[in-house]
Amino acid sequence: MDNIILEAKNIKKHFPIKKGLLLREVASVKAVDDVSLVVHKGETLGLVGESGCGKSTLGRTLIRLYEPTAGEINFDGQNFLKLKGEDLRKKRKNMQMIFQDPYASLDPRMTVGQIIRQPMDIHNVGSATERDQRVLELIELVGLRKAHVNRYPHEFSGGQRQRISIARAIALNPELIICDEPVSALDVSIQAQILNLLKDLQEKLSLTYVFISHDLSVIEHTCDRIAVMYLGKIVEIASRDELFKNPQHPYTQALIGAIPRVGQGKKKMKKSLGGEVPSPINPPSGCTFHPRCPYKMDICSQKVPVLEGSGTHKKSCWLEKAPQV
Amino acid sequence: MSIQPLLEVKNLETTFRTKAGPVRAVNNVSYDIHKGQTLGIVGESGCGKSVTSYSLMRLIEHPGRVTGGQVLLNGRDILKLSEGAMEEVRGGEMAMIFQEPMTALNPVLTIGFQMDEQIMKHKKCSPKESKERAIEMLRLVGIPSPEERYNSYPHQLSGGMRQRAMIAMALSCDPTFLIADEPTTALDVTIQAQILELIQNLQEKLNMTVQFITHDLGVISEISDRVMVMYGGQTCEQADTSELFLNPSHPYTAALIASRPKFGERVQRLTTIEGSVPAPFELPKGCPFVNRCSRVKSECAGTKPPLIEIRPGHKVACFNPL
Repeated sequence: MDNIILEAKNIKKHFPIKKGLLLREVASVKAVDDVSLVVHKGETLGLVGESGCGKSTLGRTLIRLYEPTAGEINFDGQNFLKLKGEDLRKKRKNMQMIFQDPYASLDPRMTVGQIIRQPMDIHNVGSATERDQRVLELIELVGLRKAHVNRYPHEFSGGQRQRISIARAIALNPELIICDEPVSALDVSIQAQILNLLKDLQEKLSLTYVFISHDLSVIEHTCDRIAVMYLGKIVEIASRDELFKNPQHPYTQALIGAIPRVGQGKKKMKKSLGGEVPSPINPPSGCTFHPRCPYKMDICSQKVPVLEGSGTHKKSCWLEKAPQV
Repeated sequence: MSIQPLLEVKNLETTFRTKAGPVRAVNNVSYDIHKGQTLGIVGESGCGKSVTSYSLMRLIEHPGRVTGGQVLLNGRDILKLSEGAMEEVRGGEMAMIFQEPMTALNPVLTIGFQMDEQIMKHKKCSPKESKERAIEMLRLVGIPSPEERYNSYPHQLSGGMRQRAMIAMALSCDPTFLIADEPTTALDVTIQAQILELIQNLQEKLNMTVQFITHDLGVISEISDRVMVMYGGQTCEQADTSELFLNPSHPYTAALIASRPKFGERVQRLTTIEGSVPAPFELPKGCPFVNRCSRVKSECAGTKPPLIEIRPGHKVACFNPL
């Protein structure tokens, strides 16, 4: 298909653990372990999972903020991992990132104007006056006022800061934006403002998003397709409707079951998924979910299941069909 | 109900002295909780929900001070108790689970030491009995191999286990009243579900009364019998949980519910509340929500709306309720 903007094949990102006088590598954290996915132009692909499942590492690896340990990434049909120097820099213009913590991701010593202008300065876009002009345009586009341009980040609230980082991310007219938990640090009433802004900008600028979040309600609202991650692997990927109506992997089912529903009144909590996410240094054998899985079979601890399925709905699970809950 | 509530809070006021003048973080808040019930307090950051809880526990530190009101626990005003008498109540009759177990637990002392300290003080028992009690509590909250964990330091436990240890500690002296301040905010959803289930089960078993604080509307709606919504240090609305979510009367409550993406309900755009939460020292004179409200009337800016009962058990502080 020609509408694929990004294709990742068998991506691995292992962080070495070094010990001893000679700093020999004694083990590695398998943060992302053999992940393949495609991102289509104009869509929002959601990455969801619990902390430590590798969703943020995957997001960063996709745009080479982390160098993958193995695998292949094609961006706009070009092998992105082979690019170097000037070519890489040019390509990078097309991909940007919005970070989780708007307090940590903006330089406190720079004014809002300087922050938003910096990507254009780095990539040498337009003349100085054009850049200043563009900064003002962007500020209005994200719902701030022109008067804000000379202020510093500490003068803004969390929601406004996130607007500044969004302005910075779209300054170069990128095609792809990785949104790493962009609303997790914000209050509920502010979350809605930012989610709406991201949606408006996507329509206006035909952006493609990879949207990382641990909040399934937010993921359901924002994303067209969703990949569920567990311990560095994608365990299920499907369109939004498919995934929520017909979740196939027991982990996806448990995640959906654990969402607190608004307005249903006090209820007895259902028996929830036991245990915790195991260490990615020494993941369980076979299917990494098997120690917590309610439908565990013999094969699960012996062989690693493959992510497969009919059409667009894929799961990595040995069960023929997951019991409906 | 004619029986006396376990906890009655009357016109509570907590003030912080700052360079910019006194800041009233909790302003004239009143509520009560009946025995065995759960009251959920919900609001955004800075609304005063945590300060309310700290005021109840008398843990407000300089430059803050409880400047008015009464807190009646079983009919006794605990704000009037001496510090020594309060130490008997705190951790004994009433206990608190804090949001961040890593900062609430002492990193250089073992879990067991910290639990013994509390148990020996309140239960007046021997170290041996105390240790047995501590291990029994750790087992009750579902910590695997509690005998070993008794000798562990907080950093050796995972986030979920640390929160369980906090709960075990809070419940170790059979409190009748438990304050849970955002106990699951720092946790993953599946762990959150485990902790909520645990608190519910223990509440039933021990017939505890719970004040549960969170900013998550989903959690609040599943765990509480009654809900209080706070904004700018004041109560906006109080009602039974199902009533509150079905018929929210305060514009803020309604907007808060509408702005949250609801699971299984598809909307193109979310309803937003314009602007942001005002800083506590620049609160408007009248209703704190006046600058963001869509149903604002002329009197809202000048006078504080009183908390009025509009339906049985449903109170709202608004001149123009929905």
